[in-house]
Amino acid sequence: MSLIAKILSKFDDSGIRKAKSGFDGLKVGLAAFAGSAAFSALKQVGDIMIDASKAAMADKKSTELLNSQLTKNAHATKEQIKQNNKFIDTLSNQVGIVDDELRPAQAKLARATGSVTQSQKLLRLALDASAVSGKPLNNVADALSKAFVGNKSQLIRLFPALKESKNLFADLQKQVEGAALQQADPFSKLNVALDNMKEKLGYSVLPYVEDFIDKLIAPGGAVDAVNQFFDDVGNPKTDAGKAFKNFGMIVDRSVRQIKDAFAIFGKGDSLKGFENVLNILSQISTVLKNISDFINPLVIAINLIKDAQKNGFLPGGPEAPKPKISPQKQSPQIIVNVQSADPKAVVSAVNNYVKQNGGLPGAWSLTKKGK
Amino acid sequence: MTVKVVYDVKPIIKALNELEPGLKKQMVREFKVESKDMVRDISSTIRDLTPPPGSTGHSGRLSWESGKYKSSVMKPDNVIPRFRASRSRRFAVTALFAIWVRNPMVALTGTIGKGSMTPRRSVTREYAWKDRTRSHKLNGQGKKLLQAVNDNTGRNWFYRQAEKSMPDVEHKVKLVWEKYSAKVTRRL
Repeated sequence: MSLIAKILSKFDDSGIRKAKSGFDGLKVGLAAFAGSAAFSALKQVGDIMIDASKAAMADKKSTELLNSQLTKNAHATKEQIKQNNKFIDTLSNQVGIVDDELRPAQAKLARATGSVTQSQKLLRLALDASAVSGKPLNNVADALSKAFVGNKSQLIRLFPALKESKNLFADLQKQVEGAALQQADPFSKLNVALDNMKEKLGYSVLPYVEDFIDKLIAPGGAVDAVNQFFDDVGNPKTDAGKAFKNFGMIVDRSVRQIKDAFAIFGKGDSLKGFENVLNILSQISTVLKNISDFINPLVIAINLIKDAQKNGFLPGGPEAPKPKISPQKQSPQIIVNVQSADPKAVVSAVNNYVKQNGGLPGAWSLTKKGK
Repeated sequence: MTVKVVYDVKPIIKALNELEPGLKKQMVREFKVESKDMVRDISSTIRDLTPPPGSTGHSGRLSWESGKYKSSVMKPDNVIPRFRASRSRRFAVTALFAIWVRNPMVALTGTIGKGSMTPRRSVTREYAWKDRTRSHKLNGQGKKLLQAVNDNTGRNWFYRQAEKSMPDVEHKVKLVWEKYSAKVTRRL
């Protein structure tokens, strides 16, 4: 902490602009990088690393399995186990078969023989026999291990010439010795070499992968955090649980209100109420349709009547404008329509006129109309 | 406290040095001469202050006699004028020439106790602790420190002291800046 009393200040926004452009550039750069060859190359490298670490894991697992078998069945010392690992690596490179296949075969033989040296010898023999017979190494190793404990049938099935043999393994060795080395394909050797290289790369990455996994599953790690979240959601005492509970209560209340509303129409049964509401709505719809069907021709008829009145075909139409009559031209006549010129009716009409108008015009005449 | 702001500092400084190497150095020297009295006043004020209890007799980070600023030991009256033309990535307006007090405990007392002296909360915010978070009750230690500083040292002394001579120094420093910038403004 320090105290600063500014005496003179400067304005310079180039730093802010640079920071902003740098950030924009970073975004553009990231976008470009994501679509670039470098990114795909990096992804490939990542994939290779993952493959390598997987291969290393598998190799580690098979090695540990074999070592435990040698320890338990052949009472192998640490030094013997170390030498055996070297033997497997050398053999794998010589015959072009990956160590992950050799180790289970040797484990099988070690279980039968109870000796590291014997299992190594039989493994070599199994490899030669496999190369000659074309059968998988696992099957041959199985047959050899059974033969070692006295069950010769499987081995004789593979090599019928051994049926009369008194020393199975010596005779088999005479038949097949060196076949594996002879038939070792250079490409298989290359594959083994590449596989070993991949495993070595994987071994260098493996500690980091294991460390990552340990951290992931360690107490308080990511897995725990996710689990904790779900636990919290389920626990109404936590904030997450409270929020989730409130949400659930709101949803529950809304659903209940809707159910109650429908129950009114179903005498307490919301489902029946819903059905009734649907029926009512359906009936209302039908009634509305009928009304509409009735009103439509009525409207058409009314319009026709209106048109007829307008055109004068029917009474009740709009009155024609009355012509204006000037006072000078007004006729001093009273026209009385009486049937058959009844004098009483004429007098009555005139009297009415006088009552209404207060007198008769100066000069007027009666016109007789009708019969 | 009003702040005087100048523009185009970088090109002017660059042009000054192009015009005559060493001109910028000379200008900064003149700035320092103009602010000398202010620096002296602030230093003497610090020497008159009573250190807060607990800040003396040790050489820790918050020691009054030998506080640490970026792992350098600072005396309490270490007050310096500083010229900085570098740009900031967060602020457009920054100090070009300023007075700095770098002893942390002295700086602390310079601004301490500006608030109401009443803590806003009775427990702290949650903070990370041993794979989990926790908070604790405030024990009143901070309040006591503020009280002690208020009673013994005096509060907000730095800016009050700086403000006494600030207008005069500002004016003089601005004149120096204008004198030098005028040499190159026509060229710019």
